[in-house]
Amino acid sequence: MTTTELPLPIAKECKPADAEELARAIAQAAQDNMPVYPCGGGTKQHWGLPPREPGLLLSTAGLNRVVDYPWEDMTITVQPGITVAELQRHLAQHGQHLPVDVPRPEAATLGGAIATNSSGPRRFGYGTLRDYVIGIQAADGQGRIYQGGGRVVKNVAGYDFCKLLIGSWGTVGVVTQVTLKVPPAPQDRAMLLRQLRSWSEADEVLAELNTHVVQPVAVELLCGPGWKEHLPEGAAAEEQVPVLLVVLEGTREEVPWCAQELACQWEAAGAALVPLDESQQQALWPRLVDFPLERRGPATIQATTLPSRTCELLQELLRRAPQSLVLAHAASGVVLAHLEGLAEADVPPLVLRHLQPLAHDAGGNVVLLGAEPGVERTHQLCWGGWPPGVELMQRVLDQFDPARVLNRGRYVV
Amino acid sequence: MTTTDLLPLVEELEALLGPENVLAQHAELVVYECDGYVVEKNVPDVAVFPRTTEQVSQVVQLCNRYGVPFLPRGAGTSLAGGALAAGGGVMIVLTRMRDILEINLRDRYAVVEPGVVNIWLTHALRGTGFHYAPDPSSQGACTIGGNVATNSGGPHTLKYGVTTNHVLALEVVLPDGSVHRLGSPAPDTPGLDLVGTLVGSEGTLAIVTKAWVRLTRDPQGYRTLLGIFDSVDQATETITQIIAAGIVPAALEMMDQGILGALEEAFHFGFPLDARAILLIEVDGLEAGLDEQRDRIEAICRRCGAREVRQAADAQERAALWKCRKQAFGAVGRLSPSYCTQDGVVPRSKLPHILRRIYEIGGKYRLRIVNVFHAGDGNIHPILLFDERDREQVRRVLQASEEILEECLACGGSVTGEHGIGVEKINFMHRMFSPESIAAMTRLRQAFNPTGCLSPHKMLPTAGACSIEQVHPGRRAAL
Amino acid sequence: MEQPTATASPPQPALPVQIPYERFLDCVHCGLCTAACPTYVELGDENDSPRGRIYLMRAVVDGRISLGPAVRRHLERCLDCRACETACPSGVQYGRLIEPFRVAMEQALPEHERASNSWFHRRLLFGTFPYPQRLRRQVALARWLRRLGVFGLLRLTGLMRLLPQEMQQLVDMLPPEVPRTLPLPPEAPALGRRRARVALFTGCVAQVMFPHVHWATVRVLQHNGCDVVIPQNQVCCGAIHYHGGQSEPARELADRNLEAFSSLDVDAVVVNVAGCGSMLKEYGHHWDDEKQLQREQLAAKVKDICEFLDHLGLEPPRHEVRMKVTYHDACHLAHAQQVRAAPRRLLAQVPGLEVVPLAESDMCCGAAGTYNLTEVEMATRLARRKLRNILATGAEAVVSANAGCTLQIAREARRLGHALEVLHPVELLDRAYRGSGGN
Repeated sequence: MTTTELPLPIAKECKPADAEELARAIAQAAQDNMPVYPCGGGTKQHWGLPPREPGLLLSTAGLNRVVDYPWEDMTITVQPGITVAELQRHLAQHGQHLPVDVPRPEAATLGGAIATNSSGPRRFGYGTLRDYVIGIQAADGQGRIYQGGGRVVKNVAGYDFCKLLIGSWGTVGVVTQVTLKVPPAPQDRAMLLRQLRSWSEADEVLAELNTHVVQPVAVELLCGPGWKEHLPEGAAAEEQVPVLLVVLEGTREEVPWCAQELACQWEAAGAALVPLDESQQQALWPRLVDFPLERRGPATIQATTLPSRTCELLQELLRRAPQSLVLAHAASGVVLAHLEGLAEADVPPLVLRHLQPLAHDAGGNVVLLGAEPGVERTHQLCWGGWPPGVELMQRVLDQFDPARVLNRGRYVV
Repeated sequence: MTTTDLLPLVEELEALLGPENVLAQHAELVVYECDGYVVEKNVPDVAVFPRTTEQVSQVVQLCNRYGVPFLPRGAGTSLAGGALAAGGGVMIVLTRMRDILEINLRDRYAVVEPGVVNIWLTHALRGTGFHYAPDPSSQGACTIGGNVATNSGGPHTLKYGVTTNHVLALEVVLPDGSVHRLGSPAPDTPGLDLVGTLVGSEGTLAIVTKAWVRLTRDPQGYRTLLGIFDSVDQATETITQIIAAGIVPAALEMMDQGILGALEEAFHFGFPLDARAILLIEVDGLEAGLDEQRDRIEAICRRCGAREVRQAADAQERAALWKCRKQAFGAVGRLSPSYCTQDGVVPRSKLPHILRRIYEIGGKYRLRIVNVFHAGDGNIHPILLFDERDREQVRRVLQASEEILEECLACGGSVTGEHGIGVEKINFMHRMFSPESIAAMTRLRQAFNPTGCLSPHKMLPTAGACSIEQVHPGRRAAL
Repeated sequence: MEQPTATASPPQPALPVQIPYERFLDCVHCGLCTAACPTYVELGDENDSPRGRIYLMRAVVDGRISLGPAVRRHLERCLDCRACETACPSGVQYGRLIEPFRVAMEQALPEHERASNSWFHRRLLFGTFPYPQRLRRQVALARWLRRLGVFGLLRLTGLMRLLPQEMQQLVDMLPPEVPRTLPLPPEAPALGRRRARVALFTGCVAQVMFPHVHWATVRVLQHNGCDVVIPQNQVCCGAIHYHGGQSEPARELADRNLEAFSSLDVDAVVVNVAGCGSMLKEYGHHWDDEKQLQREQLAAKVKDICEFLDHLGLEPPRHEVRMKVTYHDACHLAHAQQVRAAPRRLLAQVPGLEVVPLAESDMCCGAAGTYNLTEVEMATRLARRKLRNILATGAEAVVSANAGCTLQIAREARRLGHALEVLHPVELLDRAYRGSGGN
């Protein structure tokens, strides 16, 4: 993506070659009271509240080195501008991986993924970035460089800045270096597709999987006609009939055993299993990962809820926007939806009046990801209201970015 | 401030909580002068036992009104002085808030009060197919509130992660007395990850009054192996090889000859006393893959020179082995009148090096050092044996500890993997972090704890108390 | 608030306690014992935990604090259940700290303030309990009064409160009915192949309240090929006195038992009450005098009935006992004697018997010797907790190898209106041999 395509009001650009240069650029911007828009691959710059003031585009593209990869220690230290795909290629050389599914990994950078706390289907099995970032360095809103954590997998010295920075949209600091712990990549993977007949069946099978001896790494519910091209014959993800996709990973012994176990059990119970061949699996997988960044319909939302209430939320969504294209990380309580077939004007009422109250009731939320320009990006629509602890977050930002230059006006606080 | 100035505060505390929930006699406060770290001591001025979040909040507000520092305490098992009333003042003991409020298996979380003992939760979950994964060695006594404060680890954190990976939401009382609920059992609450920031903050940012913790599925099976080695180098090399082979055991622990003697005396497990080192290796998961993993590990052990590899025969033997391991520190009491457990971390490939250095340092300072540690994480726990009545020995212990930790830092590691900074390692913060990083931590503390009244003199070298430096001159140990 | 030590009232007379200081130093202050301590689990105050009590005792010995009423309360509140010793990895001998300390604490008081000097302690605890004849008479009287409804009347009129609290407790504790049995014979011969010759210790309270358990013990031993000798000149083990701070009378009782048992040619002295068993096993280290060696020799022969049978190898019982039971670990068996697996292994051999696990099975039920008579509030809390755990198992009976626990648990069940049977393991074995099993 070239800078002109970015949905940002750019007054200045800067592509530092090291952390110090990056910090200086922020310090200068703070002095000039100019907003700073940190940018990695630019894949998610259209998310969040729209920036209003022209500011400094701070690209991390120049900070894309692998600093140190002592693979026997199963850790890697990299700069934030490295793309996720590039990082994975390095790790693959030693049979390791970062088990976080970041959409559009060829473009998306690790720094951007950390800023937005990016995740995907396998978060059920492997967790999210907060489970892998063990050391971090960042430059705060005054251009002061600070570090937290370290390069060892276990470490409780000092405050955990890794957690503070993940998902902060760069508001407590622009990440300049990251150390990750990286587990061995699984030896094998399998996917099982099951055609569900009703929502009650979906609820039952999800509850069953919760206590099943077979623990998948991803449990997905797919709904909507848009899945057709990627699903085999006989699988209908239309309207009121979701399709269940289970992803299994592990050793060469475990995966076939698990697949067999589940398939036998489901078949014995009369469930409709749909075979998914190797090439179909390979075609489907990237679509699942990239799903949040697909541009379909007037808006894309992410709703979160308790896992037990995923189906309830899905049903409400599909009742009011029946043509939506939906991917739910059902065992984690995450629902992603492209609200196809809905008029732009109908997006806010759907989200604010129907979905957010339902999600809030379960301790979750609904946030807006991408949207057509006609959908007005209000705070309530983008972020689902003020999060618990908002005053505390303000106090933290007062300390780290008193002038609020970092991503000014875009974040939830 | 003298103790008599605190009388009105004590009266108000008694009126608030009832006299049975307030201790203000010196004789009854002496037991609160230290925790599992006995090198430094200071008697708090008052100890209170609130039973509700509301009461914690009111106690905090009272303390603020009187300008008296305060700090939380759980079971007092910290090995770094985390529960030491370094600034005197009011100790808020949370052991009367000890209910498991909710267990939700379908959504995989439990809600507990801070005084719930770690193992009670696992006991309450028995038979459900779920457990609470963080299992610090002191899990039979330590509280979940304390675990949250120190981001506790344990043997099985190698595969399952430490406390912070298992805390979903918190209810906290801030140093100004306000009550906040942060995070949610539902995923991805928008905004800063304050929950993650508070876990491991050692009670310096807020007092946890409720925690939503993640429940983990029990594995289908275990294979627990005991690798027996004739040299420490062979054992440490095995650890490095297992990790490098891409195997992530559920736990990978090492014990050297020194500790084996004490364990054998305490538990009569049947450890070979002539072995120089033993690895306790556990893999868990689906039965389908376990034998293969065990075989691979066994092969690595043998390739590295193990003289014997045993497997725990049944659940009972496995439990006995883990009991030995988890109570190892305490068993050291059988070897010498005093001991100092260190807690450092090195990259896993540096284990052979650091162990050699530890023995060298022991030789240099004429100290006996035994080792039992979370090898898979590179988290070492050298235990330095001494007699606290011999001041010269004590001095050597401190020097040797410092040299070991310096060596950890030189290897690119950390001065604490799980015990925390507390008061013990404040002086190391500057060596681990740049002044700018310390300044950033100070700013973070400022955001939560602007007056510094909560847990003064802890964790950060810059963290002084509020209006008073220290209520008592302090009864520092003779060190 | 107490004044700083410097300005405290005249220094306390030094406590006449002789505890080797190293025993305090054995405690490395790790705190792993705390959650094993029933009083700490209930109260949450470190002063009421083993680590805390050791700290208090040491601080008193060091002269850092004086032995005021508050400190005394914390030490008195200890159940002496020894669960902390099981939990302690450093091998701290807690019992050998708290017991002599409490004896000294009692003796340091002016005569009239000693608890041991109260009417209840003098007449009932020390004067009646250890003597089966006297106890039997008192119990019969109490039962008779109860049958006449006197206690009910007293309670109704509030006059019951005029009785000492300990008495009220005691009356409550009496089981409604004790099976009438013949007196035990001086000897009972082995049935079948002779495998051992043992002496049976019958104790004081157990003789009066649980004669049927003694009979069951004798029969089970006979079934297992044991000649059983029951010395008629044996007396109370002395635990009630010793734990009540009365070291001298305890020593006298011990010496009489020495006379009764030492000369016998037996393989073991078998005990079916865990509290007595652990006292007998400790005879060797309570008193330092010329008889110490003799006491040690006797102590070495003492075996709990479960421990003994398990070691001997149980003759397989043939009859089914169709019951669902759960097993409660008596402190004096599990912690003081470290006998846990043996009773479970024995029960597992009873055909038809379903033994379900009990949560917190080794947490004290609050009986703790005479604790439930003197520390009513805590004892009741622990009894409730125990009963709650028992009821949660769905068992119809709870098995306990200690008379005190049996009385305590049965009383609590009666109070709360639950039909729960409390049995000794040998009773179940006896049923399985005799074929009178099941409810």
